[in-house]
Amino acid sequence: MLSGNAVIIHISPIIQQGLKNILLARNIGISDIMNAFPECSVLSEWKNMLLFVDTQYAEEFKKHGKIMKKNGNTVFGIGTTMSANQPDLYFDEILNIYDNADIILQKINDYGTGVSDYKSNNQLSAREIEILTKIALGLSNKLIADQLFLSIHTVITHRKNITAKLGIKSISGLTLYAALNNMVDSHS
Amino acid sequence: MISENNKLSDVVSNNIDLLPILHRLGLSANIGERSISEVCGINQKDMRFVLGILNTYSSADYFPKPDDLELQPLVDFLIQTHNYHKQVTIPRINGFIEQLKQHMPNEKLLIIVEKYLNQYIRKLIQHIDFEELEIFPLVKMDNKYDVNSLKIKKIFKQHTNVENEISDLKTIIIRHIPDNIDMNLVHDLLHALSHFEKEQLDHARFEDKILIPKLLKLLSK
Repeated sequence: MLSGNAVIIHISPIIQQGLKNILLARNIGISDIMNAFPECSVLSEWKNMLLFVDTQYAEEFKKHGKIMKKNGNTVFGIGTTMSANQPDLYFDEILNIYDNADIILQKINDYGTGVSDYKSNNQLSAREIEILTKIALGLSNKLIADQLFLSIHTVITHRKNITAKLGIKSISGLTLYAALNNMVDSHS
Repeated sequence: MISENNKLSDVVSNNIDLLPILHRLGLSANIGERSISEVCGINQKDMRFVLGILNTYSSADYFPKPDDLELQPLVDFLIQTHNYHKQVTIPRINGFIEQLKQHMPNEKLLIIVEKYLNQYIRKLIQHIDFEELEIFPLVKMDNKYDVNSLKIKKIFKQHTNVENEISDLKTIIIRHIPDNIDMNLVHDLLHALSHFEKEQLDHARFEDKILIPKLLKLLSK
């Protein structure tokens, strides 16, 4: 369990509040919420922090991006477009504003940030949760592949891994699992 | 393996799930101390057919000889099994869900499971109707009847889906059992689902391994 080691840097109060709620629900404490990119002197003081930063600060990252990743910090970019989903030089992982809470937590968890009660050997990866959500919404392999810019073969492999991890074989069963775990609306 | 000289009461004592099977075979009366052979004689039932059914339900490895199970009696038995599920198994499972919901009307697990079960039952009834209206009547038709064998083979795939869905449902219920729920009722529900799953597997085995191959062979003549 973590306490007070997360910083959110984003101008949107909606995103600030939404991310705060998701983090607090998993006992990840917030140390600061900032509307603008901080000064270099502030960045260099952070150690072993979880930094959630708007990917739009392109110029600032060019100047100070490497400093952010020093001192054991983990940097999560907050992407605001569907295509902004690939980590790069400055980000360990990209959280997309279209990700649901489970996917966001899984992405955070994948970086060993101590949300230990959320992960086990059979826990789905962020990508698997994303695909499971789409299966539950009734999308075909082809549609899932198109939406996530993957090959059908990759989607099928993910599906096999999901089934193996969960021990659930049928589409109906996967949908039920997704509904019970809030990955999809249970009324849909 | 169950044989004609076994006491029927012993056979049922060893596997009480055979009791509803006996009922479907029309053999639940006059059991007493009698052997299977004697009970079949009293009730005027084909002993070879009865042994084929009882052994198939008793052992997943047992596979009856082609001549042990004639098509028409097999179809009659399968229809009896469908009726048993519609009249007994499904209402029983729904009853457990209803009882659980009375204690916890807002429990998410129960609300979603009920919805899942309703969808499952709708699909199962469609599958049963398909078999009874489209497949089983083929047994009585003459060999020259033009039948699309793909239609017959379609039920293989449906069986796989139907079996997996009950197994998945059990797995998911066990993983999401809420606090403060009536655990005895949950146990009853899971027991009923397990029994249903086993029955479905055996039922599918009769159809996939015996009925369909025999039917396809008959129609190809």
